[in-house]
Amino acid sequence: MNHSSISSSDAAAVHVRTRQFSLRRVWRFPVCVIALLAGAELILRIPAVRQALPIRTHYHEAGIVRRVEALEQVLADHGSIDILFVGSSIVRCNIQPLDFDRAVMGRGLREVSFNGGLSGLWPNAVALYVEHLWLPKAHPAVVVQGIRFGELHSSPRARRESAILSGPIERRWRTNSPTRDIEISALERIHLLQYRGTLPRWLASYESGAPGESLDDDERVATDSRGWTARLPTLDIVLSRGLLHAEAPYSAPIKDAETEAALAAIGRTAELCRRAHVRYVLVNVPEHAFRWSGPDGARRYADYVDTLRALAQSLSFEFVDVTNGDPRRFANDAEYSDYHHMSPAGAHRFTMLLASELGSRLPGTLTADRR
Amino acid sequence: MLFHTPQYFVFLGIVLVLYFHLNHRGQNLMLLGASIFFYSCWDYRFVSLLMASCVLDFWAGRYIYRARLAGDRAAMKRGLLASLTGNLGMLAFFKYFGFFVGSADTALRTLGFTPSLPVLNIVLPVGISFYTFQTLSYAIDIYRGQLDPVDRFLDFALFVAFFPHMVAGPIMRAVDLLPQMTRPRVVTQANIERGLLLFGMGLFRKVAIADPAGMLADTYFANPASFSTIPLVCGLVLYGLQIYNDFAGYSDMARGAAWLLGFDLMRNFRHPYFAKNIADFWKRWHISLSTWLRDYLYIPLGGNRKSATRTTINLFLTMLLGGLWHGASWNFVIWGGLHGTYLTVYHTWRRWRESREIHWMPAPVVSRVLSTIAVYALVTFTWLFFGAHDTGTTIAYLSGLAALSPGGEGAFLPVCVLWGLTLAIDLPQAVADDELFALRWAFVPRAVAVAAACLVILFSGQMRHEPFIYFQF
Repeated sequence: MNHSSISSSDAAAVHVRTRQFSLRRVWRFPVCVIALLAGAELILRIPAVRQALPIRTHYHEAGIVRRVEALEQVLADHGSIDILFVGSSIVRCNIQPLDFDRAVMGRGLREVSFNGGLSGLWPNAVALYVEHLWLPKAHPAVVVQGIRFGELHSSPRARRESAILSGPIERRWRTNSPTRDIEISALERIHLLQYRGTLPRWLASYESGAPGESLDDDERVATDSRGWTARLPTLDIVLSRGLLHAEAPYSAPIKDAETEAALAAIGRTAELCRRAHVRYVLVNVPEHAFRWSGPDGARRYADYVDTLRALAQSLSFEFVDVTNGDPRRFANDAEYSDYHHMSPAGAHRFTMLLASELGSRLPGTLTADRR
Repeated sequence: MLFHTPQYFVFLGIVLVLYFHLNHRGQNLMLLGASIFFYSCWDYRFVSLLMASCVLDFWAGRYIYRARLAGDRAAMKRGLLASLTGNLGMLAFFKYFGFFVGSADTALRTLGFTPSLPVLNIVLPVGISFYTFQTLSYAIDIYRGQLDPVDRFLDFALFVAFFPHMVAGPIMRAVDLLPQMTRPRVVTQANIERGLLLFGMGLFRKVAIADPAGMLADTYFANPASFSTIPLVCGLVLYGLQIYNDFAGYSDMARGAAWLLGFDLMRNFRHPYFAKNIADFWKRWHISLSTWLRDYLYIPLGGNRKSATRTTINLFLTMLLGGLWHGASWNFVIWGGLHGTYLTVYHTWRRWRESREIHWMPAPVVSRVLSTIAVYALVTFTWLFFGAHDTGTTIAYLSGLAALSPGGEGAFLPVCVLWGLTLAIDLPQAVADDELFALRWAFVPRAVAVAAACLVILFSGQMRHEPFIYFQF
């Protein structure tokens, strides 16, 4: 028999003997723990330690960190940026700002361009980065966004895009929380916070047994002072190694719900630039002609280019297509590294064509007087 | 409001500040208000159900007690029946109605009938399985004469709705918790140190181990056909780590929060994966449920006081119902049934050994290690039926395991890391036979351990807050 003798009738009269937590007696312990964490923060700031650890967040991938550092250097050296190229890795690899500057200089214009192309940035993420990173940091006169047909559709890279949009900093960009700026500021300054969630991501790369390949190829390739990344080897060598045989010409519809969403995101970027009094130009970055070699490819390509042109007209921004509606103008394997990233030779040719088009279309903007 | 979210930390902070400024009656009133607020954060509609359960058992307890004093056995039975019918009726309706109707519908269709059984999409009130068992034990204990009813409804309502343990236990006995409600509590610095340590260990288990393990295990359970055998084995181990650390983490956080308020809730886990046999496992796993089932189901059924066959049936039935308690699904029934079978086989073997007076065993250490590994392997395999939410996934997973396809050895790495983190808590606890082992450590090692734990929690922290698995039961 286990009687509990529960009766609270006389308990209420008894004084509560609750004792307050004595901070004075225990303050040393939390202070010591905080000091140790501060030590860890300092250790994380050592580049060699950072190098050995997994990438902190998408925002801290080498591709972004190096570009932001390079941008700050260009701003320090030149005072301002005239033309900022934005988009995915096709912009990063296919447009050479230094070549571009030299080409337009031949036309009597002096300007500074910078390549802000980032791996995996589809139109939706481009709009986010233009709004929160590029426009506030670079204050360019012109934003040139590069696009290809593949980026109007979801792809295996879509998972990466969702990871970008839900990243610790990018997620906060998309909210209107009153503490947003404080949180972003803390995340940008405190390395310990930046490493939140890296352990599960690292473990997840082993889920099939082998570590997943890093999507941040900026770890492996060289990037120049204006943000251009060279891509090698050339497509003919790649094909001779038996790679890329699974690739196929485009067969996706030119216009559907997915493309509408991507076009809407492009429209958002244009509107952001308009509000910031920055000229906006959309550029069709030519893919290898193989992509349009399927049945009815030429007509489909024309429809695709017309779709972009119609968008530009409806939203009153400039549109540049260096192929003049003919995808076969870009069919040289030596000018590509795969079917959409160009080799340095291809990037040089495309950049020259782009400089020629932009130099003639935007003479009022590309002047040294702006500085 | 999950225990590992900033909202809960703010909530607990406010509760603590108010608590230390109130007298005993004010504390109970405030805690009840806070508990109702906490529960209504899940779904305010079910607060009335919770209160109805409180009213029913408060009344039933007093009714049974009066009948007991008057020696009226029939009235005592009526009171107990009212409590059993009300509580189990609610549980049956909200938790099992859809399951039984769906199963009956399927069975009748298999036999060629076309029944039109009522299909209701009933939302399961969070914590119903836990508070129902708790209130039932109150009425049963009074019926058995082991407890006198509480005088004030406020104290009883707080016993049922006390926020640290209301949603997922530990399932406390009235005889243990009610005196803590009715008497003034003393919060000492030792209480606060214990509370903070337990809360911190729970947070570590949840954020650093259970959530990452769950994220990985989900991948394997979502599409078992696309993985080879080794990753699938790792998936089961990871699920085992997830469910253990998730639930033990919740229990530790609940007990830690309770300690901060001066309450002592019962321990729910005692490093179960170190069990030396399957019976030992059930003495270490979800202790508050297994002892509840033992005291209020197994023993009333006859326990081991009757024949060997009857004992086996009692055991099997208890485990089957224990499985069904977790959820209305055949997978839980199979899980409970398998554990019932293991226990039956173990007890039969033990009786056989004792009757033949076989005392031979390998060296104690070897025997202990081998038996622990065997029990762990068995328990981990059985988690498959718990983790897979449908028969199709279960079959696909079993096929993948049986295929013995090569490759995927690297999948062991996350298992090793997360097992290592689990051992970082369990091993010192087991060796020291003290769950609060770290309180014995000197100042500097303790500070280093806490800082290291903070770092691991920080590195493991997800962007989303995963709910505790047992909240769905």
